[in-house]
Amino acid sequence: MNINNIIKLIKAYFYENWRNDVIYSFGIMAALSLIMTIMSGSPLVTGIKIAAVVFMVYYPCRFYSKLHQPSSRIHFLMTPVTNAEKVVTGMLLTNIYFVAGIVLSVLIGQILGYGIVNMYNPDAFALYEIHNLGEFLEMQIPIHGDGVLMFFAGISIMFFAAIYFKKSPFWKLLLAGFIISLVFGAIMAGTEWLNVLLAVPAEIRNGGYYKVEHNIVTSSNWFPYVAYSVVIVYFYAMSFLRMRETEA
Amino acid sequence: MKKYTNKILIITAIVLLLGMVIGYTIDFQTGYRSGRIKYEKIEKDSTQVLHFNGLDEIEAYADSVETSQGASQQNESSTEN
Repeated sequence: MNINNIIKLIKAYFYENWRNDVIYSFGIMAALSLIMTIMSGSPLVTGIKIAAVVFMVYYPCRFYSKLHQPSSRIHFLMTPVTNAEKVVTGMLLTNIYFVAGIVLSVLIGQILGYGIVNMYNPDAFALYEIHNLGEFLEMQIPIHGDGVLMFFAGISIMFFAAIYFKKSPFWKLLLAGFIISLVFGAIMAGTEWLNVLLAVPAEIRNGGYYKVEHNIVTSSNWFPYVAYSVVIVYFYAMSFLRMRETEA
Repeated sequence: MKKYTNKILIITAIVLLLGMVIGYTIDFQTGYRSGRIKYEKIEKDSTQVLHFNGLDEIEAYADSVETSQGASQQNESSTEN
């Protein structure tokens, strides 16, 4: 893997996309400050959450958008760099540049919104016991602890989908997610029903309501951290593999 | 070049599903036998509608409930002992 190639790929991305990225950033800022102004500055509008979700599902597609159009597909695949370099460049742009960009845009948008609301209604935030910008921003931080890992796990899944599907990866991922959760949910519900049938005596099972106190491994504190880390590593490894296959 | 991605995805899904089914079953069966998972019958018509005339009656009822709860807790602790 050659670092110069990665830098060249990043430069090529900026050369082609910097205008759009600036427009998107200003769009996010304007939309957030507008929403906050309309909602009279209610901090319940955690705009950063909405923006994070939109970003999570859409932005990983951006770097690989060339793969989704037949005209530019060959051009992208024939770029004289290795697959690992293409995937690493995508990871760097998605996990560092896009995240930093979106967080900055959202932050500036919220500060703008806070300023506008404070100008025409200084008491708007007092209702929520917010008296200065610091308190306001503290309340707006939407994710803590394993939530951060969940966010990056979501990005890795979308990253994989952007390489895996040839067209409209976002909608196909949504559909795939829906079908997978339906199948898994049905099988798990069946498993629970069967377990209750086998373990619980009929006289308790029939009629009445039941209280099930469940305490399993998945409810422990460390589990989400391990699970999200595994998801992230798995989907980036799969992205690399799929990229190699797509080129072949 | 052979394509592995689809196979790996399918194998992952099957392993995950089997793991969930087997893990849940082991957890439920051992948990139920050891008493960790409680499966109790709660009577359907255990709720009742109460009527009060004035605040005094409500307070008197609340006192009686507290006393009965305290007594039942004491009973529980004495049986545990």
